[in-house]
Amino acid sequence: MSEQIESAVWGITPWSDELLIISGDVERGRLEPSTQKEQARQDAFKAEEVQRQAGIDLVSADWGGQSIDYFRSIARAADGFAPGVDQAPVTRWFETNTFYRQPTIEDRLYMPTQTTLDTRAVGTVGDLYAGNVLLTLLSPHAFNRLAARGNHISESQGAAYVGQLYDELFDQATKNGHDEVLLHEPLAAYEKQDEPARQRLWCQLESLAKNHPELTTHVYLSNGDAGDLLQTYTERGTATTIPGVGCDVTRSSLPKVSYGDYLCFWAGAVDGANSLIEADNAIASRLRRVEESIAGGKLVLTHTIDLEHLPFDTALQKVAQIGRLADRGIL
Amino acid sequence: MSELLTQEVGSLAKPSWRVQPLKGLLVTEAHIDEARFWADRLDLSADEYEDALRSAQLQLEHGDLHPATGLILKDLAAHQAIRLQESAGLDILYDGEQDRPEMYQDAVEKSTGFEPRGRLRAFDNRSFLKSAVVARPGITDPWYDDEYWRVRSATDKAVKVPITGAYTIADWSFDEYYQKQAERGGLGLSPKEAKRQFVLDTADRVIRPAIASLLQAGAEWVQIDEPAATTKPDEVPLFVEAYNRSVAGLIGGFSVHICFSDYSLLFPHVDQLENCSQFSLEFANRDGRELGTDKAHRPAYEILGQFRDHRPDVAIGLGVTSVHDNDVEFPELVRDRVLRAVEIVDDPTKVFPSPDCGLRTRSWEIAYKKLQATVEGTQLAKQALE
Repeated sequence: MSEQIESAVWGITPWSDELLIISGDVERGRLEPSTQKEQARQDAFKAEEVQRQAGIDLVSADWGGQSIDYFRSIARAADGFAPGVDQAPVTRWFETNTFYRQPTIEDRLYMPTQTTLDTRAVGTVGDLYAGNVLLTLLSPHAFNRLAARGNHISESQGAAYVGQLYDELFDQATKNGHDEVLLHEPLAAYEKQDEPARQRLWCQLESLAKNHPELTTHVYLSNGDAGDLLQTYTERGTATTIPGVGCDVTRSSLPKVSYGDYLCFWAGAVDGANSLIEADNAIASRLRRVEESIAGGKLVLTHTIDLEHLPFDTALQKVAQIGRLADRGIL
Repeated sequence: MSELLTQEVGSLAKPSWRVQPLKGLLVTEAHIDEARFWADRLDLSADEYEDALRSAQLQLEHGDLHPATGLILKDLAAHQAIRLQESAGLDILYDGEQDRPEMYQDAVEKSTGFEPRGRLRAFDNRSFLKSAVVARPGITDPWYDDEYWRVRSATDKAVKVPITGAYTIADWSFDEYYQKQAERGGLGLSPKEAKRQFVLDTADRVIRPAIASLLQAGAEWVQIDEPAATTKPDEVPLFVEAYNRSVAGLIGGFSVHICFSDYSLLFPHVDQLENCSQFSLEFANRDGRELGTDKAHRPAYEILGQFRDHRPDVAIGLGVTSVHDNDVEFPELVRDRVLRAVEIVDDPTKVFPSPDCGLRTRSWEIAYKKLQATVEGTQLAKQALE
């Protein structure tokens, strides 16, 4: 594995205490929406500053109050979902105290003409991060499985509809100036998929990536031991159209594999679930384990799960740690 | 035993006229109008509310709110909340947790051993202030004795006191103490054992003393809120152990509220739950809206069969109105949900219609209408059962 380590921040990011309080007050009619917008800009700029100073190579597009959950903005913008996603059932997000509104797929999913999805953080208005702003989307597999489907829609029909929608979302991402997208897959490792299911998953993701060569597509596996999924991915060899793959290395057994120089591995080694700032050597020992298992390619240091499970300031401390350790060449 | 008694589950929103001055913000005429409106509507003295708010207004215009005035405003808000539930027709009630900032935050702020770390979103634009445990937790003073007395003296209805459970407190906290101790070998614990120690310390040193004090003060029924009970499937037995430790040896009525959870994960573990008279559960959130009392129309309620089979001795607090949307249920829909539950549970004395959870995320107008729908729908169900 290359001695050079890169760093990345992905997924749904936390809102500051101020932004969370203000957004609640706006919803109750106690404050004007402009107050929330201004605070969101401040959040985004603060996060940009921390990421820039830390030398993060791929910064998240999500800072600045972009996402409430993985579904909301997409289900609001696209046609084919049951109306009223803001009133849809409140549903637990895996083993956390975070909940999402579960949208229902009722028909073919598509973005109406003239509708665009804002995929860049409010603060990234300038060229500060042109070219290295990472868009994260829930993987289409998880999107289909974690959404509800109308009675007449089968799982495979839902997967086809979501796949078509994701083609449009990838097109929009390109138009919005993104070069890289990360598909977050939180379900496959959690469910401990069998080999046929793992093969189907990689086929689906590779097919999406293949249709969009203008975007570099990465896949991050969270919420369990991703060892088998990595093994299946590796066995697909050079045929894969996904050059970057990663997982929560604190929970995963890592297969002994050679990735070849053209691939990169995202090592989720900084705890995104606990407030404690970990010792550098604890993170280094996790990375050494990665290095012992995975030969070849580029190493990207990142966090284990979405940072939304940490308070804003704590998350930024972890971001700074990721950047510092990657810059310093922790290995 | 009475049939189909209606109950609240916990919190109501805090009115702006109470929140803003207690934050040090000025009292506006809109605040005064709002307080007068609800006082009139609930047959309370509107003048009393206006007088208190005028005092607060004057104090804030010239400096800070006097602590005594703050207490009066809290008291007045609690009385409106109690009266709102009475007026809606509920049989069992509390004060809408008007003195508590939020169920988790209130519990950890009243305990020792926790430090706040920052806010996290729960859902939508609703967030909570998450703390870390930094030392063995404990309590120094009774938690809710005064609150209970205020409610008891304000109503003739049955009173149920909510208290956040030990498992939920631990699961919603960052652990900066037990895991660290375990890593250093100080306690000689594995990470799993460290979590267990945290949960059981919270049960033994925080929740049980708080409940014991409440019972001493005269409370007859304590509802232990455990929304996190099924969050981690392999820890459901730990939730049961914590509940049992929290009520061990105490004489009183106890129930447990669990919401937005996969209830199938509770079985068979709840067979071991001791001294529990009611499972208070959320169903409306996951149910359809079409009328009908059969399985196809009421899919959310099918799990009640498992509760009946495993714990026929325990009643059901039946969520019949959703707390996370503004669409007020028609009484006929509530009726059908109640009838479906009665058919499965097979004993109307063991069904207590209620909202899914606390209504704090809704405006008072919506909350009031949802509580009225709960009561009216239950009346329709009673008529249908006669």
